[in-house]
Amino acid sequence: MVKYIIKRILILIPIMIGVITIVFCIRAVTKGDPVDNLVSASATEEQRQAKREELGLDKPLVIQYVTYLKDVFTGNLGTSYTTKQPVLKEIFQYLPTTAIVCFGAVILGAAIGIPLGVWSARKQYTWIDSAILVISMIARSIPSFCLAFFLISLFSVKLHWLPAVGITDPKGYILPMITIAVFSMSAYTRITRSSMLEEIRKDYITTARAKGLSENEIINKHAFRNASIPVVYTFGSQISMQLGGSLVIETVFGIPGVGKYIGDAVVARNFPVIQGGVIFLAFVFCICNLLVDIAFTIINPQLKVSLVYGKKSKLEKWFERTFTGKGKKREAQNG
Amino acid sequence: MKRNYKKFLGIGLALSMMVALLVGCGNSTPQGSGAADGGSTGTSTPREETLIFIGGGEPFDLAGLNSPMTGLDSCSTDFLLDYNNDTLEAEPCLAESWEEIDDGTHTKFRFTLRDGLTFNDGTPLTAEDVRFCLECYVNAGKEDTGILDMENTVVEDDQHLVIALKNYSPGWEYMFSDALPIYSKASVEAIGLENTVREAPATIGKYNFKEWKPGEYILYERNDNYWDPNYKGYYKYIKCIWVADIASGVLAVKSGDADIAYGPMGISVVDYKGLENDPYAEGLSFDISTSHHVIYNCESGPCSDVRVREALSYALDKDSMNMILNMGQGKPIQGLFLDDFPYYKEYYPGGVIPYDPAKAKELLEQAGYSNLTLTCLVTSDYKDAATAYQESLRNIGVTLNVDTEDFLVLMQRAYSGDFDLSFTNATNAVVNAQNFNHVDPAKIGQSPSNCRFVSDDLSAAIQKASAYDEAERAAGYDEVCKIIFDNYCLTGICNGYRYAAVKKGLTDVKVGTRMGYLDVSYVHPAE
Repeated sequence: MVKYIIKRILILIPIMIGVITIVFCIRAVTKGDPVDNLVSASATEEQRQAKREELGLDKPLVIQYVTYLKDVFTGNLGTSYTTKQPVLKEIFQYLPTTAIVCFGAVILGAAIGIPLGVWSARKQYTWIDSAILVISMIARSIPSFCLAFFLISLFSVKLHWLPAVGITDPKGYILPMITIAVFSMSAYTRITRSSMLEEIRKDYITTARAKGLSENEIINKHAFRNASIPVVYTFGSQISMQLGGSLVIETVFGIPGVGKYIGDAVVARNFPVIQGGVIFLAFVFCICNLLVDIAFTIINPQLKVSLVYGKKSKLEKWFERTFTGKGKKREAQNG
Repeated sequence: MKRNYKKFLGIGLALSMMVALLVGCGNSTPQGSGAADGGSTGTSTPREETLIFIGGGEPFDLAGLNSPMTGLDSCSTDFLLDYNNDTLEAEPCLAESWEEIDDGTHTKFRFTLRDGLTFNDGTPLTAEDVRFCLECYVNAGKEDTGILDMENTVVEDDQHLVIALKNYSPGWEYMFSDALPIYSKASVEAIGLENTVREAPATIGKYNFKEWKPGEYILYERNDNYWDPNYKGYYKYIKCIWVADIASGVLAVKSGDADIAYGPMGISVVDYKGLENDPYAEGLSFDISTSHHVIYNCESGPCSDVRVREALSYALDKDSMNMILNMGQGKPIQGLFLDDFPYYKEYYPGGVIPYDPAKAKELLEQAGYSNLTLTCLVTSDYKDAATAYQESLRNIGVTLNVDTEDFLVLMQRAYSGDFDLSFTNATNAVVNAQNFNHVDPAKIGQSPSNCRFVSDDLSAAIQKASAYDEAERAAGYDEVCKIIFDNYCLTGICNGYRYAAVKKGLTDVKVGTRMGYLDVSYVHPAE
């Protein structure tokens, strides 16, 4: 197990090199000179050049890349053009707020989405199932900024229950969390529903019914437990997604989080912050996925076999069928 | 049972590791040191004693050193001079008087500081503090300071200093009234200018800077020992919250969570209109002599032909543009200056060029252009207006490609002349060196909204308009305007306004006419 974890951590190195390379290349080809934003309009060409030299932008791209790579791997994501503070230090300053909003939202989404998914599966092909699916689809498709403005208009402007912007009051967390949770909820609902439908059609459920177990007992004790693996996976993926995608919500609600920090940097062409922020989020994404995989191996020994020892378990094959469709193709070819 | 235990242990472990990773590694200690840092929970202030102001983008500092100024600096730092919004004149502030030194150059001015002024840390203000701050701003390349001649700026004694300019420039006083805050030399020497402008350790102002929670707010506390007995701030605290999307700020005012919303360019005209009949908030509009224009690239491409520029002027439907840009609030204009400008003259009979597509088409045909394709360079602010213009031009056989760029890319393209025409705005409330940024040949490659019209006559006229002598200056302005109009370097569209969302019942919300900054230090509820 330890060997597996070490292996996974080592795999992070080439992944991160890839991310850093892509981020650096995007910066290199982006139009617009960041120096224009950092010197006054009346600055002479000499002053501009001096600024370029100060920022290291006058050096060849390859030198800039190698220096940057070395810096990132020694924990130096650069210095913000605007605040003159180390980027990593500033990210750590904004991270707790983003983490609180994202975790709260994803947990809220799970608390609503999972029961809805189970209920929908139990009532398959009824109006309840259809209603839940429609709600889930709407929640999935509504742009988050539209929902944010709608919620502010309703709960802040009309009802005066919750603050419209800022988190100086703990109540300020509620609307951003709901906005993210709605999106998250739809993911949980659909994953839980499909996973539950697969489980309740299995033989052991029929056996349980034949033995006279109550429907609640069958669903809660047997089917849901086995259907919960993809739900855990969804939790991990949702956390990663929401951490990276919190930009819009944080901008609309004025939340001082990582997303707003990066968003402001985009407007100001603050390249060290943009690059550092993206690299940091990619790293967190990888770590979250690693933790989810480790959690899987603890939850289900079948997965431990496949992940740690490289053998494909039934569950992994199920994953492959569900998420990649490879198994389905094979089944179709066979039959 | 054992398996269940493992399952919950696994989930719990993964969750706690994620939380530990994300929350635990965050800084629980405040950023940096000094007054700009807040605790993890921030300072709580009573709502009734706090004016909550929602601004747009967060400034990088409090003095406009690394970012545009916000006007908030006028709360916490007094300037050498003040600026009267009504008379458009500079007035005494930290300096009780100033006079020109009669050496025939009109470039040296003796300032006398008020007696007994002290910074909020108890240090007395001296002339050396002023000189040292100006020198720091010049060395840092701060906007506007290029005309300061620091070699000949000398301190005479603690209360007097002579400030020298490299050359006379009309309106030179304005930079001392809203752009160069004065800090104590000791504090700047102790922590450097960069930290001083973020932490404002020792200032003289109506409000004392109290706390800056990055990404969240800046808090000021009223200075009850302010030197001016005539000033009485109503609110004990002013809290500025930063919300990049100012539309959310407007909703916050409507909900009663905030008192004022005003981004770097105010709020949108749509949001302003949306405040009509609102029970809690109202929209205020401020006329700060802003005007919208189409500028042409007079140096290269089809627009280097004056007949094309004239045709494009006739194809501009100013009333429609006014609807798009102002929702009908403004009025069509012609030239660079509005009718409230001191040297305004009506150059066109009837005021503005009428919308006349037939004449535009005829002019184009005379110029030999039947199928013309032009590139219009705009930021997203002018995208709708440019699209409307695109439709108008299609009627006269001109294809307009609208390139919407972010400001930095626009600057780069404008500097290199990579455009045919562009939409821009100008604020010309007062007579100063910035009046000619759009047309001055010397500003080609320095001003993103310059029409690149190279003309010795124009350069000479601009030089004349910067003269010390009032009559000569007026003649210079007259010549500049005539050249611009005769050559169709730009076409005025309509005037513009800044809008703010304000909680109902608040008065004395002031916006500086010169730069459009909001000064919230006088705001109070109506009697």
